[in-house]
Amino acid sequence: MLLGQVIGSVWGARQATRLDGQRLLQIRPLDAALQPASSARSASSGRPSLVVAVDQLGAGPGDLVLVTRSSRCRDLTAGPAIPTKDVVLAIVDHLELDQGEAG
Amino acid sequence: MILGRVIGTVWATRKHPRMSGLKLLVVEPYFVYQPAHDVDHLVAVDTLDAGPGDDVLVCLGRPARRLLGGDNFPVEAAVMAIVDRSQLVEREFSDEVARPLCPLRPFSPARVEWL
Repeated sequence: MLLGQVIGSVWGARQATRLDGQRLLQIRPLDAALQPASSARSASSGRPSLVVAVDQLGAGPGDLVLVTRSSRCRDLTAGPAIPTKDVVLAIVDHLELDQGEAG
Repeated sequence: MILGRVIGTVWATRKHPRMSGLKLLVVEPYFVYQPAHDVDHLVAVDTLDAGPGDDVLVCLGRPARRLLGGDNFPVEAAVMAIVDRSQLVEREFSDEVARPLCPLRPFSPARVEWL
């Protein structure tokens, strides 16, 4: 499970039929300091890092979300018929960081 | 299992019903850990009352769900132990090895004995 910030939606003109009616969100994982990354690149490797996940909770741009990438979690939340493993599990209200360690 | 440091707590009210009541922590792994996405943290469920600053062992996958009492929790990772003491061989886990994994923090596990 990872944390990320929603940066937008994705609409497929033609998509797998099981994806019909599902909201797809673009999510940028948080960087090593748990801040929304300024660019869609990983802090450690520099490689592009962006997740597209199914959302059934109604998250919107700017929201911090908890994303899973496990097929079992997908089965239990969105259902086994959804042809993706990335699912939004929760919308984060507040992220409390250990400032003493993070500084 | 992954050795890591708890660096934060996640609060979420809008979440999947099967996740209700679960306490979520942000853990920064100390050593090589490549989750499915290229990120430097993972979120784990905590049942042991760990807190920020604690070193913890995190297990992934089905054992993590079993730890919560069944396989029907949409959870990928759970804290399975709070570390009291660990012994590491310094030459194998030098700062150079750890630095790429902890880019913003010095490599400093709590309560570690260097051999």
